[in-house]
Amino acid sequence: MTWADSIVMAVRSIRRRFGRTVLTVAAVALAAALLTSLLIAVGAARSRVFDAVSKGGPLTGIQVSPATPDFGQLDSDSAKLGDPRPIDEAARRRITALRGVKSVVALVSSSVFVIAPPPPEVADPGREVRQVEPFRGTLTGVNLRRVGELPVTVLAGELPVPESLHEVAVTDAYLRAVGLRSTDANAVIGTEVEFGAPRLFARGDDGTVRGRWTRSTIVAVVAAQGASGEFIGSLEQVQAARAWTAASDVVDGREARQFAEELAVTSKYSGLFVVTEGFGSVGPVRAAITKIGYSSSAPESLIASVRRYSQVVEIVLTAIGLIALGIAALGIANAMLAAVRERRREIGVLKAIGARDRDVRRVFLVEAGLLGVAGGLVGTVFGYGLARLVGLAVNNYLSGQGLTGVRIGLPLLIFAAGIVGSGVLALVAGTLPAQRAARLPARQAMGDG
Amino acid sequence: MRVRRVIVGSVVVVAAFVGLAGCDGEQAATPVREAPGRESLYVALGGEDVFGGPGSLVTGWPRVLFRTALPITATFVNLAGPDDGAADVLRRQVEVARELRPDLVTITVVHDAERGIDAAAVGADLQAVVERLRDGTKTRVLVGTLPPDAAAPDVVAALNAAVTQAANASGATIVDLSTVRSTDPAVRGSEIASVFAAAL
Amino acid sequence: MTGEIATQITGERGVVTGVAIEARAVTHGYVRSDGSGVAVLEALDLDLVAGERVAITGRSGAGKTTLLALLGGLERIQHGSVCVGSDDLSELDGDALASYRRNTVGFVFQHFGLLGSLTALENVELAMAVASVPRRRRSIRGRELLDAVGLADRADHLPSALSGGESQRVAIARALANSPQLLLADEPTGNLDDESSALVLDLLAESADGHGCTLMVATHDRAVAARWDRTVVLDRGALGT
Repeated sequence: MTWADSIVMAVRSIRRRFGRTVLTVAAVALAAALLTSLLIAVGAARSRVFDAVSKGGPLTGIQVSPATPDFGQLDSDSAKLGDPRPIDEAARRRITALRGVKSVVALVSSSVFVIAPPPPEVADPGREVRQVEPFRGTLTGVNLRRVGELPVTVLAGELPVPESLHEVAVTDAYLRAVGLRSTDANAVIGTEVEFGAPRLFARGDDGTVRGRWTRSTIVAVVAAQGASGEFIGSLEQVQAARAWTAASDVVDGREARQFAEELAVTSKYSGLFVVTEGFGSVGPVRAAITKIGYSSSAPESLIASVRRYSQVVEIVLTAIGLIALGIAALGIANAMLAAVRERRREIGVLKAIGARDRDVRRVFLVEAGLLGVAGGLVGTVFGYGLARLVGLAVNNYLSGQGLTGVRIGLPLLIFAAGIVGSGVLALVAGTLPAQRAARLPARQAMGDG
Repeated sequence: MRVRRVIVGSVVVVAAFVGLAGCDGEQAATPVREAPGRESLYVALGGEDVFGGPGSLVTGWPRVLFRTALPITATFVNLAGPDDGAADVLRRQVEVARELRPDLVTITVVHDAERGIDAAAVGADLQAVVERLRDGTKTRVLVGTLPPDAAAPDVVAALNAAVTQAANASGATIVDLSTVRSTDPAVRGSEIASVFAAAL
Repeated sequence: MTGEIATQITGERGVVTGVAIEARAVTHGYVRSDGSGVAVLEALDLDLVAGERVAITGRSGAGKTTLLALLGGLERIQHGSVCVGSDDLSELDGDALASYRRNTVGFVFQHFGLLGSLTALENVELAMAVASVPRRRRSIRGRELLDAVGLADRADHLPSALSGGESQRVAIARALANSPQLLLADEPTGNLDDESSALVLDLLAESADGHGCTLMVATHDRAVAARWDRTVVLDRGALGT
């Protein structure tokens, strides 16, 4: 009996028992769909999270502060600040050139006077709201085109347009300053805030401070790791403010000198965010930065824990998928054993007309294999669709955070493995029934008695 | 036949499922929120009424004018001095203002009324200020008259005549503040600002 | 119709010569579930001449089916010897026995033994598929055989759409597919009405004649047995004539 004949016989037999076939294929398809969607999700998460962790992104970043490192710096995730030490262009270049550094994002900040808008309507009637007095705040400027490299999470609204001079994001510190809670984030979106960069003008023997005032719309509320200021805006916005302050007259008066000290633009950069090439580079780069003479912070131990737990989750998910496939295989074995019992006489007839044991075994194995492949094909495609649906939901959340989404693809490997794996599993499951069928005596053709 | 129908049906369902899931939804485009406007600079010159008292950081009329009548792309600098009159504006404020290259300047010199400075001298100084501001620039200058309660009516009248003549002679726009009545600082600030805004 | 059929049923090898059967001291039994043994055939001797047409009769449980199963190679010989032509069945096992079944024997069962998922034509072709006959050749010969049994128009029907008589005729066509030298029929009319029975028996006779094969028919019906050259009677595992 040729392979082609075995396949035709198997197909005919499958068609004859259509209901049972559909159920068996459905069981395999569900298991294959589960395993496929889990594998795709794990792969996407790995590329999104692990790559972000292992190949350089906000999670593998080091924050450099304009201060010397204190004792025990490298043993701690957080910065241990020593004496102030400005970060100048030379320092930035040195740090950028370090081995293991992928890129450096400069942070520039300016101390500004702030006139906050009248408090918005808040839902809680019991809460007393009042006009906020002008206060001194910090406006931090970053290259907004590179904000994806920074540990910034959008909590409400959308980040300012790159290079904008009149849009700003605020942090939780701003909400507290104006008497609001973190839950009131949406209430400040769209309101206008006024910034006044101070400058000292000589006036007779003393000086007078004049502000350069600009208006900005609050477009986002963000959580920025390591940022202690209230506002985040474009580099251009802050540089304009710092240029105004830097043009201050030198005045001899005591008060004027005190003011000048407070506002002195001593450090070209108020901080650096160093993106490393991967998680493995964080430690060595931090050590190098400490050696150059700056204090730094990086969530090394936190990330190591996250990675460990992620790997555990990955193992568990894969195991779940495999268990599901195992259950489906048991289903195939059970269905086929029942089929062998029912088809005893048919098998006997086959043998009676001259089929060998191995011919009979082949027919049943082909049948099992076809069920497995069909289930694997349907299941893999279905699983891919499922993963894309989940990906839609995830991407909606991520884009709301101002982060790039995940790409859900169906790697050829997973597709092929799903089909081939299901086929192989079905063959394994069908081995016992096929063997039992092959061993049936030809006498079965004559029925009982 | 039945088999074929079921297979075709299944393929259609699965394909639809995958196709639907394939719709990613719109990618958020970079929003063009900021109205493209020209950056402009507004400088306020003058005396104590411009410099303002307590709370004037928020409610002073130049601040209100900046906040309500000018586009968001405007920048504001207040160079007024608390004791400055027209002569002080000419001596101390105008050169600093010129360096900043403002697009709009407002000037009021109420303080001179209190000190009893000669109206002609005030007018001459004011004219020099405006001419200096406009020398080789496109700066728009708005000069405010004295409000009625600034001093005695005849003093106010004389100063306003001098201010008006100086403004006309130097190409500034005169802003008539004779309708300003309120004594409440916050309300007064809004009143003056809206008169200036109308003149823009 | 009968006369026409007789001239059309020929074997692949032209006119086939049947085989002679020689069985000596054949003893066969089963082990019951309680462990006790049951003897079905006791020291049975049987001789058939090539081309002979013999009926085996006896009461139920006499061992007719077992004898046919042994001659057809459906079971291994336990004791004694059975020579069918040049094949000593007591020496055959596994694939060799399967080959014997494939090439030498054509079996017709009481329950027809058609595979429900295959059409009439495919059932006939199946016997040739098992013998690795090329597909094209199978199809031609299959249609010839169905035509010979008067079922050319039922070639694409499933067994569920055939009557009992029609099913048995398809089974006969299948049994003849590989030009057997020994045709064995176990109660071929057991499940049929009188009219169908007559048709089937005529067909069996003509097939045996046309092919020249040795025919053995097991039946409890004396009238059926009377149609053949010789009748042997099985009584409690032993033969009488």
